This record gives sequence, structure tokens and C-alpha cells, in this order.
Amino acid sequence: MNKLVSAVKRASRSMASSLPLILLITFLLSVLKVVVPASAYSYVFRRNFFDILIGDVLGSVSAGNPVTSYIIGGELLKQNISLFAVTAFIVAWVTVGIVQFPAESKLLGKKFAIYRNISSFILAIFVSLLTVLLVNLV
Amino acid sequence: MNKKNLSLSGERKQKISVNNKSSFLKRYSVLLFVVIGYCVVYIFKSSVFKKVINTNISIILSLLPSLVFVYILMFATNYFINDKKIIKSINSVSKLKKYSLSVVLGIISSGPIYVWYGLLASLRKSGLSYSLISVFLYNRAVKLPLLPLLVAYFGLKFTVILTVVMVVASLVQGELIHKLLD
Repeated sequence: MNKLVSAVKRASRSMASSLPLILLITFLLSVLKVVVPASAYSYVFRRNFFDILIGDVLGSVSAGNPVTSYIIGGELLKQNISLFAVTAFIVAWVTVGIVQFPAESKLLGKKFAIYRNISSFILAIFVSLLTVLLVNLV
Repeated sequence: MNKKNLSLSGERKQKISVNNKSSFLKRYSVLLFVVIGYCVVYIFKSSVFKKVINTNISIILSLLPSLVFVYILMFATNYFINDKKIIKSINSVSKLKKYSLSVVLGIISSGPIYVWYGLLASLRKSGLSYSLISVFLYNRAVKLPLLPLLVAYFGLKFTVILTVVMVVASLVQGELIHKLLD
């Protein structure tokens, strides 16, 4: 019985400590979702080599369901944005978390959150380059 | 002497109340930030406020199943598993096995990434390495239920190659984090 109560207490304590941070993220997400419409993304691209970096930055600062990134990515492709940029965008969307950064840093450590997000940002460019090159090769 | 003791205990009480206040502020600073955020949105753009509230409610409602799942998982790991023992046994197996386990768990785990931070933080306290946490988190990006949708938008070839490249990238990140932090 004691073990059960202690397990419930520990789980509740862990959950209670992460709930305010989850609320913060949902708040930031909803502001982002309302303030930045999906159509706004295509205006940022320049249709040159640097689009891969722009896609990476846009994906990093955006957040939400990955489905949204697929839909936006599909739309960007239709507007002749390169597959390199779109791939960097959808990869950064799910691997880099600027919106989640405060929560990640508080719960898992500042250093870890910084290293993980910076490496994810850089890796998104390599993942994009490698994926599109392999798609063209295979 | 008595007067001195009394004044000392008074000072201590004052110190304790100041400490309590600062720990209260520290604990609720994030919630305070959220409330201030809502107030700012309301003051500067009241038309947006209702939309933000509605979007927030729908996001929180969609999160509830994942939160319940993570809570049950936290309870189960606390009740059935000795964190330290299991992490000791994870740490004793080969790197390939450790990384493979993190990749699989990352891929099959559901819900948004941030609902997992609490559980990962408590596992970290029990000794789980940062490299395994980063591999797990990177593979949260590979969403099995969403792969058909990715295929519909970008084709099967692209989806397969992207998925494989992302798993490889997660291992690269794991090694990088291992070198930097573990």
C-alpha cells in the first residue's frame, strides 16, 4: 500500500512540475498559430541557395502538429520552393524546438537543451541535403 | 540574553518568509508569465485574444490523452520498476543495443515532445545518459501514424529515404551529445 501511495505521489509530483511548462508551451503555440497564418511562410523564401537555411530557421521557430508542416511543405513545393528548403523546413519543425526550449531547458538542463537544439538545427541541413540527393540518385 | 534570542528568532522568521516568497515566485513564475502573456494579448489585440483562448483550449484538449498516458507510464515506472536498477542494466549493454532501444522507443512513443520532458527528467536523475535522451527525442520526429500522409505529400521514395536518414542523424546527434555532455 505504501509503495502504491509513494508511486502515485512521485508521478503526481513529476507531472505537477511539468504542467506549468506545458501550459506555457500551449500558450506560445496558440499565439503563433493565430498570429502567423500558414500562407505567410512562402513570402520569406528567396528562391535561391539560401532557401535551405531559411527553411531551417522557419521550421525551427514554428511548432505544432507535424501534419501542419507537411501541408505547408506541400504548398511551398507547389510555389516552386526547392525540395532542399522544404525538407529542411519539415525536419527542423519536428527536431528543433524554440517554443519548447524554456521547458526543455528547465527540466532537462540548459546545456543539454542548447546543444540538442543547435545540433538539430545543423543536422536538419545535412538531412535535407542527403535526403534530396539520394532521392535524385535512387 | 532572552531579548537577543527573541530578536534572532524574529530575524529567522523574516528570512524564512522571504525564502518562502521567493520559492513561491520561482515555482509559479512560469504560470505568472502565461497569465501576463494573456493580459498583454488582451490589452494590445483583444480581437486576437478570443482566437488564442479557443486555439489554446483545443490544443490542451488534444493533449489530454497523451498527458494521461505519460502519467500512467510515470506511475508504472515508479511502482513496478526500480529506475536505478533498470538504468544500470541499460547502461551495461552495448552501445548499439542502447541506441537501438532509444530509436525504437522514440519512434513508437506518441504525443507531443514536451509531455515527455517530465518523465525523461526523472529518468535522467536516476542516471539515464543525455545521449540516449537525445536519440529518443530525435526519433520522436519519426511519426509512424503520419507516414502515410508524408507519402501522400512527398511520395514513398522520399518518405523512406528521409526516415532512414533521420534515424542515422539521431545516432550522430547521440554521439555528439555523448562527447559534449556525458
